[in-house]
Amino acid sequence: MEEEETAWIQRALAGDQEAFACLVEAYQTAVYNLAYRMLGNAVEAEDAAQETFLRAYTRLDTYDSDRKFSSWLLAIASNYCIDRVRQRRFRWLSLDELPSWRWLASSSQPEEAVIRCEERDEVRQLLDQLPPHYRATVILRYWYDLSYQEIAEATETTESAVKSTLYRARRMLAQGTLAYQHREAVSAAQRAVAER
Amino acid sequence: MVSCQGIGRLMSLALDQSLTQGEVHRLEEHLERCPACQEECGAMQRISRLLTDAPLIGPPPGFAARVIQRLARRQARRQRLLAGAALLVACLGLGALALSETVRLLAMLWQVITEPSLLSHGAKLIAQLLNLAESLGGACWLVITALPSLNQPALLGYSFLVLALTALWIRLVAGRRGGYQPVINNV
Repeated sequence: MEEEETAWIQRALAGDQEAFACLVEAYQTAVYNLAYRMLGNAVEAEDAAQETFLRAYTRLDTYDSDRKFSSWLLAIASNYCIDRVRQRRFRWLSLDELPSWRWLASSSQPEEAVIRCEERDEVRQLLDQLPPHYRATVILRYWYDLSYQEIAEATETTESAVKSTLYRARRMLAQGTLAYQHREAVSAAQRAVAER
Repeated sequence: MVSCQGIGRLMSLALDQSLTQGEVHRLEEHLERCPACQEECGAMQRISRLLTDAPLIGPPPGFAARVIQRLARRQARRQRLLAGAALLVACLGLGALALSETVRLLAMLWQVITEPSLLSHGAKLIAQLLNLAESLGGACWLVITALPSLNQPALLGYSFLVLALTALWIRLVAGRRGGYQPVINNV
């Protein structure tokens, strides 16, 4: 696979679009998934994934063969998606208003069938709560199983910054869940008192 | 004694299986004594499980073909832009050249027009030409009016013959030009 990949890259560098199409076929799921998880909808994900490959084609001469091609490609995708999310002038929603907290707070058994059906939406809503840079780091960690070092390369930061970002992102999501859970408990207690 | 914030970092590292044995012990000890951290750790684990279980989502069919089409369109557009830019530069260059030549010609013409000798002698030259034309016209008129009074039939006949031959020649030349038809050999 690696030899084949190197041959495709060499041929694509010489302007062979068929060889580049082979690279696209090989990495389309990885790039599309990253774009979809970052942007949260299929239309924008398709556009961003296409743009990622076009950028990769035009910058192919800057690719360092000592590095994994997938990491290089994911770095282009994540940088592009981070910029795109920032350009949206995102309206930050209150963490407590979203249904994902309701689900996370009430469920200790995520394998339940009903919850499974809603999983995709829950994941999207969960990721939407994170600032774009945190989101990219979390996605690279959970869907691509990259090491801290590889995530650091992809997001152009340091290994310790990646650890710190992952901690902050997880804490942000966990505290949001717990805050919702506590408020729900208080309002349930108030309802019980009122019913007496 | 590890603070709750320090424990949060350890919890995050534990989710990535990046703790040493000593750090695992410290984390477990703290969690046993601190219900708030236990709660937070549970929430982190639930979120982590949800994200780990989420599948990779692939693009709709035909994605690679669409990328290649877009690439071809972009390259064609880039070539058109380059060609357009080259044409614009060429037009601007030619325009500048033409403008500089025009300016140079106008400057030369202005120099000729504003030449003092031309201004002073131009009027005199025109007056001389007018005098010459007047003299020639007068001479022709004198000949035309003098001819009948000469009573020389030979001279009159000769003059009419010259005029008739000239008219015939003009008609022949004009007729040949208008009536010429090319020969087309169909064989």
